[in-house]
Amino acid sequence: MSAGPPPLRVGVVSIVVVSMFVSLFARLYFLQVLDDKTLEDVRGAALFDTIATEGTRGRILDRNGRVLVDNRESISVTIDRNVFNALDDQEEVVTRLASTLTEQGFPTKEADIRARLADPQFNPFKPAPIVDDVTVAVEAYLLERHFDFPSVNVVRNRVRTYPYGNLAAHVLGYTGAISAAELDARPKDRSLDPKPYEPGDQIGKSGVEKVFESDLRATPGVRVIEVDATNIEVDTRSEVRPVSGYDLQLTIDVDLQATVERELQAALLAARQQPKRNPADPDYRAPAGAVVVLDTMTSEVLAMASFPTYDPGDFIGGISSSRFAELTDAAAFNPLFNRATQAIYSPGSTFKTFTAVAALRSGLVSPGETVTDLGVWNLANCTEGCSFQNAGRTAFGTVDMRRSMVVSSDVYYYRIGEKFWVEQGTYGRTTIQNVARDFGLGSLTGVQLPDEAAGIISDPAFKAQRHIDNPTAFPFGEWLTGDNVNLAIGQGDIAVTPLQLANAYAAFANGGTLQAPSIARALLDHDDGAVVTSFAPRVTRQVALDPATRSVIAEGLAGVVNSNEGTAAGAFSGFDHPGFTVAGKTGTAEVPPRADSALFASFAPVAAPRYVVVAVLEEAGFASGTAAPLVRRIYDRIVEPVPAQPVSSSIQRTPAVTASTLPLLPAAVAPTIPPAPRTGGRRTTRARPTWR
Amino acid sequence: MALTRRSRDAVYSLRRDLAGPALHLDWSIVALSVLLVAIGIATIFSTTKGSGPTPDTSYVTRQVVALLLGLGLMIGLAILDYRRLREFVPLLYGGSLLLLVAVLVVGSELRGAQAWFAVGPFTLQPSEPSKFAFIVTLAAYLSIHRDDLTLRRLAIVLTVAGLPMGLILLQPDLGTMLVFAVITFTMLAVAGLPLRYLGGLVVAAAIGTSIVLGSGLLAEYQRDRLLVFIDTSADMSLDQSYNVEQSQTAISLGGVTGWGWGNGPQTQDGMVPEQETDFIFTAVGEELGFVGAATLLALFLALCLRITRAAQLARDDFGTLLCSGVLAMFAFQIFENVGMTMRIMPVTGIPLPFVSYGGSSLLTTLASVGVVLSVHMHRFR
Repeated sequence: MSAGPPPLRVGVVSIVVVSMFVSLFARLYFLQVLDDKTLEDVRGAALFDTIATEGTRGRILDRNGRVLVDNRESISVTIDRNVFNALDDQEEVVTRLASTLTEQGFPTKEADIRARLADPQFNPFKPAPIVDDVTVAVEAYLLERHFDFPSVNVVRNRVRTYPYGNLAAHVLGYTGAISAAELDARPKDRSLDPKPYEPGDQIGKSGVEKVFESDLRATPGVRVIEVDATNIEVDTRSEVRPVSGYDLQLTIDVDLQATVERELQAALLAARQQPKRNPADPDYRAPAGAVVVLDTMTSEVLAMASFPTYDPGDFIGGISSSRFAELTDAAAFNPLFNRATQAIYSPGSTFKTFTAVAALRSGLVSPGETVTDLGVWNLANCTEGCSFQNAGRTAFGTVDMRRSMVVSSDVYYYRIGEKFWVEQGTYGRTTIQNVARDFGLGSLTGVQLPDEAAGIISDPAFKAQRHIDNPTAFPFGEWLTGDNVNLAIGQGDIAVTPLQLANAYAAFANGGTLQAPSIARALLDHDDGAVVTSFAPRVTRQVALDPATRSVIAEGLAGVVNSNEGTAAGAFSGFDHPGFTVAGKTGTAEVPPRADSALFASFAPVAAPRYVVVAVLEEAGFASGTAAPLVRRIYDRIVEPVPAQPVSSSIQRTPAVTASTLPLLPAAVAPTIPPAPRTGGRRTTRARPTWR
Repeated sequence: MALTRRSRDAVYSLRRDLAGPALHLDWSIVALSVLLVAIGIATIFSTTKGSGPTPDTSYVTRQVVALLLGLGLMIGLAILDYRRLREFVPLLYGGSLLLLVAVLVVGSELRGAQAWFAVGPFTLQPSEPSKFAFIVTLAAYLSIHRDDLTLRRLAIVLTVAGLPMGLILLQPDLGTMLVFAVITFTMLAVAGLPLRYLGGLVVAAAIGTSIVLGSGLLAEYQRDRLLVFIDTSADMSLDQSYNVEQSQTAISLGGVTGWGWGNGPQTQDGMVPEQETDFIFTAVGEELGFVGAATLLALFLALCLRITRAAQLARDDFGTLLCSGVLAMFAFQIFENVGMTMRIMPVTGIPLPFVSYGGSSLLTTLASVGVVLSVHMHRFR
């Protein structure tokens, strides 16, 4: 190129330049004219999107069709944490959102927003709810100023609403966003799941919401949409509409349920105000209790209350971790815990009904056989701890089967317990236990509620095995006479749920038909209310109960309430409903070091029993002054019902009456497990943790 | 229309001095430059406005600021007699070397290269102005030794070129280094380096490249980019081939007429990384189609031909060499940049002159145009 002046060489360069441009033009022409592509070529299937649409969850109704759980639309302000974490001006967004919400009438602190963002309760891949149930005005305000609030969104959800507030909370249960574990438990192949879940979908977490989840849940719809290049929906290709879930009709009666809950709270308050008989006695803290009302013929649950309770409305839109911790705090007596089915209690003297059945059925005693009750029973051939007393060492004199019930003579049953063990060659070693198990005590009732407790009915094999398994905590494995004596009065290693006790009394009352208690009556079509499935009574077994035996014991139980010397006579004084005679048994179970549990198990009317009412009050003292009056007031309302009042606004929540809204209580005594004492003298029940 | 006395005097005075620079301004270069920058700003807006109702104008604002500064620089350099540029050679060359060293020490790292100074809201990329400084320096040296380039002088030239190239490779910025190489080669050719030396340079470059590729001197991504170009199925290069794949796809989607400004699906969804800077041609191709993209290329070609003409008409070798250097810089950057988006060239980080977002590039481009205008204007006096 040395030839020629520079301008000529520049000409050569320009030829190179032109040829470079020619190649660019050629390539451009090829790409855009000869080989041009459509968006379908490039994006293909990405142009279609499949969206699951959630349908309406079934409602929950009472036995008369009144709505206990309904659905409504809720507007929530959310923050998408993935977007938020990428923001440079996180502080400003939080500050602006807090002040805006506060100005708009939803007082919100910056710390509240931060707490919600940090709350592990919420699925990290889903927007975290910041404030629920805002007004349409707030929604419009935030959406208009979308660009001032990056990562903030406003969403409308269908949420549960509770027309009767926290009524029957433990039965109903609560719903929440499906957890990762729950999602994993679904079929891996979503097409095999009749009602597949998306992350964030609502699922029943407890109560009938959990047990009947598959019926209540709507079948999700599927919408296939076509989106344009900017991911905006342009057309619906196909749509399968969601199908609403079934309505669930419960066996609960709203009026009775409201009465039972109100009276349970009142009884606990009253129990706390009792004077102590002896200053050294433990406090009557009366922190918790449960009541079950059953239909004796069908074992349908007409009412079931547990205290302390909670508000399922707290779970709408996701509950904060701190609130959840309060609801599961043992020191607050675990408000989420359904004591009617999940707590186990020593039945105390309410168990004598079954000891009596065992004694009469086996022929150990005859109804008219009398015992002279001097207030103390001494075991024969006994060297150590051989003396058992009546409560307060009261001497009842001549006592037969009927009177033993009326006055609650422990001595009468101590004798039965001893005789059974001494004469085991004739009657077998576990006659009392066999009867208790016949009546369903110590085993799951089969009610359609989650996480039911089984309870314990101890016997020689159980005691021996427990000693082998854990010799430190249980140094004695041998079943002694004293064990049998304690068992006869419902003390010792025996613990049942209030529902088990009620169901056993129902079987006794109806002549021996043990059924699984039901909480659900029917599934109804959401749109026309037609019955889809009805739940018939489920007979578990026919218990051998001679009518003569039954009537002797029933007379005794009727005397408890109606005879002048009956332990519940005072509680039922003035109870005057012709044709509606109540029979029942008080029970005062020792739970040292705490105050006694008070129990009352009953049925009515005696002539043709229809109702069973069982009440258990923890740390409440003598049953005759606490549990019996409670049950009496419930019968008053069974005879003369008082209608329950719905809460005025469905959004307005009634504050849940929990332990914290009643007078303050000392912190719970940690349940201590002392080594079982060598059985002998009046044995005390091992303190049993009734909640965990 | 009657002329006022004053305007008549002005016309007369212009006529009187037929060699005056003002008479010989190449308006077509000015018009082409402004048109190209306008297309650039419109495309930058389309690629950076975002999808919300309130568009993001921060990119466009910064680019307009750079444009105003650049136009001032262009006018100043056009008015300044280019021959006086020789006086600034030590300052330009020394200054640019200093900045290139400084950026390695105190610069900020962005997109994997330590090539930027952060100055408030603006960033300065010293490798851009150093290209301009290098062209002036090389033109000044070669114009003295035209047609008398001995091996020793060639060695001097290669040293002068090698210093900034080495510093830029350290950033590492392979693309800009290649621009330097092409400028050097072209200017040597125009200055009359014997053909055998030119051939020797090509052979040396080829050997050097293969040695560098084989050694660990290149960053992984640079090696990947080159290998992607050679073998599109190369495994380790998913990230790199993704970029080219997406950009070629977007251009194909454009078809003959395009989707319309602001409507390109790939562009608006941000499918092509760096679409406001190095891959801006993709957005033009998709949104304006063959009609628009070919028009853009035609404008570039016209500008290159006008610069060629300025080089040929220059009154001295210094002018010719200055214009040749600018021509080489523009032509190579256009070919490499547009070529890589259409997969006929390997991917390197080179901006498209006039069009890509970036103040340093725009200022350098307009300054270079200013020098070309000066060469053209001052060809008679």
